[in-house]
Amino acid sequence: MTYVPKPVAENVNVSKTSPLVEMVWLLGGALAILISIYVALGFAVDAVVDRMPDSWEEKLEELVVMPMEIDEDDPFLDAVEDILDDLLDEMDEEAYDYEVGVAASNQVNAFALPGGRIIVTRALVTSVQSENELAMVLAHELGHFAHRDHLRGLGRGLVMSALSLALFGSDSTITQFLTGSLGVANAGFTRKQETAADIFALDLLNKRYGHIGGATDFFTRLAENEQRWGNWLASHPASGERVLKIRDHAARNRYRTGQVVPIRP
Amino acid sequence: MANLDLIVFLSLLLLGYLVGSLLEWRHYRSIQQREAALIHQATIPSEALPVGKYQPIGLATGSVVISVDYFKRFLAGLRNIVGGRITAYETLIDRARREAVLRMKESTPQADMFLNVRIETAAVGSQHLSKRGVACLEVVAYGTAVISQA
Repeated sequence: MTYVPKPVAENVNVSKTSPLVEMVWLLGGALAILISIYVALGFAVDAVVDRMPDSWEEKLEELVVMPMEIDEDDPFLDAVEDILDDLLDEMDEEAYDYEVGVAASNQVNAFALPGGRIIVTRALVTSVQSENELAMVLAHELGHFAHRDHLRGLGRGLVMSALSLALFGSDSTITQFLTGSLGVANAGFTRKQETAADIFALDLLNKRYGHIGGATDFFTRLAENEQRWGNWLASHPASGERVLKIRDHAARNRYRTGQVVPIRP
Repeated sequence: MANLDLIVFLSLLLLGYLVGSLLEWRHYRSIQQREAALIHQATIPSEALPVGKYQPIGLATGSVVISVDYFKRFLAGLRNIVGGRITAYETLIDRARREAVLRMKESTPQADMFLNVRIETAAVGSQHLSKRGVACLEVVAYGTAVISQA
């Protein structure tokens, strides 16, 4: 009897499953679980934020790292402070001892930090064409404080980082991908907050100047620079959309448009 | 910036899947052809020389280092969360093992059989060596080349 070798017809060592199908199941499942945990914790954060005593916020203030370096000698600082003070005079209640700082940065941006600190960048201050326009931006940040959005954002950010860190460690690709996706899911919440802050700002602007001239200038200019795609990913609503919402609110309340005041350094 | 990261990630995933699948398909085709061509060289795990006139002629080795694509690496990472069979890596191991045996055979074409054949694996550049290391696998196949003196 001689042995005649034959090729093995079937490979038992490799499963006959499609990696694509497996990917859909695993990714879908992981995202669904994470998003539900995240949304649940998000609601918990909202509940805590509304009932949180102010003393907690003072503690948070110490924990939060400044996103940018403040320039104490900025030539526009006095002007910005004056605009903020005038706005604050129009507000019924001041929840915080508000402070504003100008950061030397080329990025056009503004932040609301715990404890009533507002930061605007130099690029933002130099890009605005009127005092009214800058007042609108500052009032928008005041709106975030009034709605306690700064704490909500902080809480959600903490929840998100804690979740991904606990699951996968700090620098895994999966963490980066999942937190990216959660950012998309979260964008819907923050867009609502941004719109609410815009409305708040518009009302305050009208109280301060008696008209809403310059309110949409900033966003109109942003809209011109914005790319047409990728807005569903953005945390802020599309600037064009914001302008429409602001105009709509202004029309409903019969706000007038008046002469804008130029900004002086 | 986050959007850009996501786009890069999804592109890598797509590239990994498409190119990885193509390369795997071509590798399997090559493996099957060469296995059929070299089927007369028997690989036997036993140490004992078969009855008859046979002469051991020395050590034959074949080794290969092979890596998975980005898509499968990500898939295996997801599988790690819930556990279970990491089917994404099965073809990696299978290809590496068969390729190593084929290279052992090709290293000694005059051999009629290989005795005491062993297959060993080692992780090269694994995750614990460097945090961002590329997970790949080395497989070594070795055995005693034997010729028939009949």
